[in-house]
Amino acid sequence: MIQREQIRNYLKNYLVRCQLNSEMKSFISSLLCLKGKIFNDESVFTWAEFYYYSSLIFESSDEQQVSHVACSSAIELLVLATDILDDLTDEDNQGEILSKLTYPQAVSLSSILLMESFHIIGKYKSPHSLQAVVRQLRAAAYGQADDLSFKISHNHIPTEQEYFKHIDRKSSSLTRLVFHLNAPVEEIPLWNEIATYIGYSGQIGNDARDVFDDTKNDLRDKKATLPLIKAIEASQAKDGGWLLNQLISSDLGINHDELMTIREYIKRTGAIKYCEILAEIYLNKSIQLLKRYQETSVYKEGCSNLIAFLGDDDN
Amino acid sequence: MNQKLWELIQELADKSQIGTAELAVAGANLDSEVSSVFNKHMSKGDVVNAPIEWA
Repeated sequence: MIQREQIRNYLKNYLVRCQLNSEMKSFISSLLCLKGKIFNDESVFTWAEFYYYSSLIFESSDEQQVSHVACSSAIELLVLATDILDDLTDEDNQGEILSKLTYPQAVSLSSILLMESFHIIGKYKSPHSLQAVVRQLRAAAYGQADDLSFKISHNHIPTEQEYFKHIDRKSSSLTRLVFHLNAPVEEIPLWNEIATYIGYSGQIGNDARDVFDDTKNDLRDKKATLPLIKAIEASQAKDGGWLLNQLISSDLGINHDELMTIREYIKRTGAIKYCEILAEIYLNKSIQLLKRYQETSVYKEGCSNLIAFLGDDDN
Repeated sequence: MNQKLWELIQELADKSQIGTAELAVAGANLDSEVSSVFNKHMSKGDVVNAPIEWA
């Protein structure tokens, strides 16, 4: 975990040196301690380390170490910015982020974090790499805008195929961004495929977990997540559409008992199990491609480290 | 790939108990990359704790 300490130190020093006011610095430090973030000792997957291990697949010399650590920190800040925007869009007021910040603070902070991450990446990477970052962030932003209307209604229930198309833009664009910062142009199609599978796995897993998370509004907002799409499909086939009728007719924001009933129903359709299995299948697909790449790679140890980080049982 | 898995889960979700032999036969109809994960998850327990009694 040496890299984790190095990234933490980089971010701490960066926060001391940058010209931000102390309140904003304190918010950033506090948000980086949240679940899944780099200052939190309990975190298993962090975006900073995901970038760090990904970068070692392409170049692992000592001279590049400073750049790897700096850009890992930039990716951590960038994803934190998108997390804030995500929670603002979803109005997750009870969530970990918006329970600490007012809306104006959150808007300002996400803008600062984006600019800081661009600033760091621009310092260590070519203009071409920065352009690749912007391209993928643009796709993610479009996906986030689509997310506002990607909902279940009586008129339209999105299909599983539409869900995958949607998360490809909203979520996999961020995993692609990580690889695009280092991958040679001729290898981009392969890394796009690997990144897409990792993105699918992460988003499907999150959507399955969020069904049971009181701080998330996916069910209340009738967001077309895969567990809900599949549970409605099962309900339409076997139960005359009970689930859709309940969703449309209930206000799950105020009726907690109804929310609990719907959660249990979704679980009992098998939709959660389906999502858990799919999330693992897509992760395995990415790992298989990485292992094939490793066979001819100069940086075999780098490949092994990324595979282990992603959670391969056999590695 | 996904449709076969979903259909199988739907079939098993309606049963209160699933035998090991039944699971093995069911998993054999899936692609190998799917069946290995399916078997791993199913060995941890049934598809659902209690099936819905569909109307």
